[in-house]
Amino acid sequence: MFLTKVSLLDHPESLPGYLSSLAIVEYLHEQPLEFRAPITVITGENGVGKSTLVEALAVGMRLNPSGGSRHANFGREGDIVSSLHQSLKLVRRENPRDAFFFRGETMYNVASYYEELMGEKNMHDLHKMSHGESVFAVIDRRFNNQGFFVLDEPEAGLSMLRQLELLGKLGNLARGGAQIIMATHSPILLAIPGAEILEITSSGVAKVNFEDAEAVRAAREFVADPRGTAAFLTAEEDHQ
Amino acid sequence: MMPYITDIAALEHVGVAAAWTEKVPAFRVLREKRMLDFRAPITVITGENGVGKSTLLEAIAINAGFDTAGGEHTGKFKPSDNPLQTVAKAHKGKEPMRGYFLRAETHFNVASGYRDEAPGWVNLHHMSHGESVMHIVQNAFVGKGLYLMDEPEAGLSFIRQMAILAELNFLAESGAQIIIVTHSPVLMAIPGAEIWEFSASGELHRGFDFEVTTAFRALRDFFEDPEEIAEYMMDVMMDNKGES
Repeated sequence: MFLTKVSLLDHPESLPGYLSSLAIVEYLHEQPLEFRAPITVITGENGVGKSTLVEALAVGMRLNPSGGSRHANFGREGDIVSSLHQSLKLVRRENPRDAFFFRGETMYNVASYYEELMGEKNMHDLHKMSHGESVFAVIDRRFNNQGFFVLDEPEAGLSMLRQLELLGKLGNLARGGAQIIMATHSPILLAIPGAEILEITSSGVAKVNFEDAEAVRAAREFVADPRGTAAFLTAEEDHQ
Repeated sequence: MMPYITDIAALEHVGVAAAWTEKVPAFRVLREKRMLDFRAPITVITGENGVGKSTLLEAIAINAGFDTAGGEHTGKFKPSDNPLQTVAKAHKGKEPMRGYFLRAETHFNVASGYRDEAPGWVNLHHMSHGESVMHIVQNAFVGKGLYLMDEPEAGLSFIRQMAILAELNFLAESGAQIIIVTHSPVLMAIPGAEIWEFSASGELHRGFDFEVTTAFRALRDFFEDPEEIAEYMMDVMMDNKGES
């Protein structure tokens, strides 16, 4: 375990714009967030601040906010990284030998970046692979049992079978000594053995069991009656 | 007869720059069958990572006159430098082309391009990825037109994916044609959609119930016993290099 605790140094009202109203910021104002398990999985609806939190943790651990290692240095033009990391205090038990921030949504840019850095640990070939292959190439080459890894929605663009493989991969890394903090919507990734699941809702942050997570309940209901669910969704629609 | 794109047909002389597509399963299917016709207002294209779903959608998009980078159909884009031009040709329907091409991997960069300049648009970069996809579907997907979407489920919760299902159903009922590439079992369940599933061995199964898709079955099987399947996957991946 490398990162064990994060707390908010500033009052939420002193934070800029939308940050002050995020559920996760209000929670951190009340109490610190402790990381006790080798894998912490953060879930919740769109807009509750999952990605903002993991990005701030990654930046706080000195990782490139657009994804990559501590040495990666690229961003999109006019990069907007929230300033949340400036208001966080991170408690570290020790410093990781390796660290990597994996962002599903900027994977394409990560691949472009490494393509330009020829010779950078064989990472320049990512664009020649399918998305699924490139995700696993990054994990195989850059993740190991001694490191600290932050992932933001790594399931983006992965098939169900690939998500199951990713579950196995991350589960083994954590069992072998790595620390993983991941934001996800994937009910499959929520099932990683030994993970502590934190669910962020508009009313706060709660530790939940796999079966109680909203993403799991919604997916279970859909799988139990997909046609009924689709019929309900298309009948209830209320367009102006 | 579909109103915007009736079919996509293989071309005889594939350019050198696009020769690589001959190994891609989805394009092998296209060459073999010479032509794939669209039979329903909504076509859902699925299959494992690497079968060429997104590339096939891109070939359809540039043939219909969309910018390679995605975005609204402006009618100004001439895709002369896109090698996929030499691989396939899409035949257009009766309706004048309009619509939107929502790309997955470069969506982020399209959002960067908009900045504050786009009239009537909130700055997409202030939103999470999932929220900006919802915003585009709700605001740029309006009325008749051809709507092409590459994995719109990326970054969206199950509940948001259900909202997209409802939006797309409504669009199709109002006369739009939709072609969507997805891994999402939710989006495969859109009523009336025709499913195309490409396999890595270069086969196409089309027109079957979504309950039979690999994605839906994988999710359903997973929920039979998530704990056991998770432990099983840990064993499977113990020494596996997932790249191959």
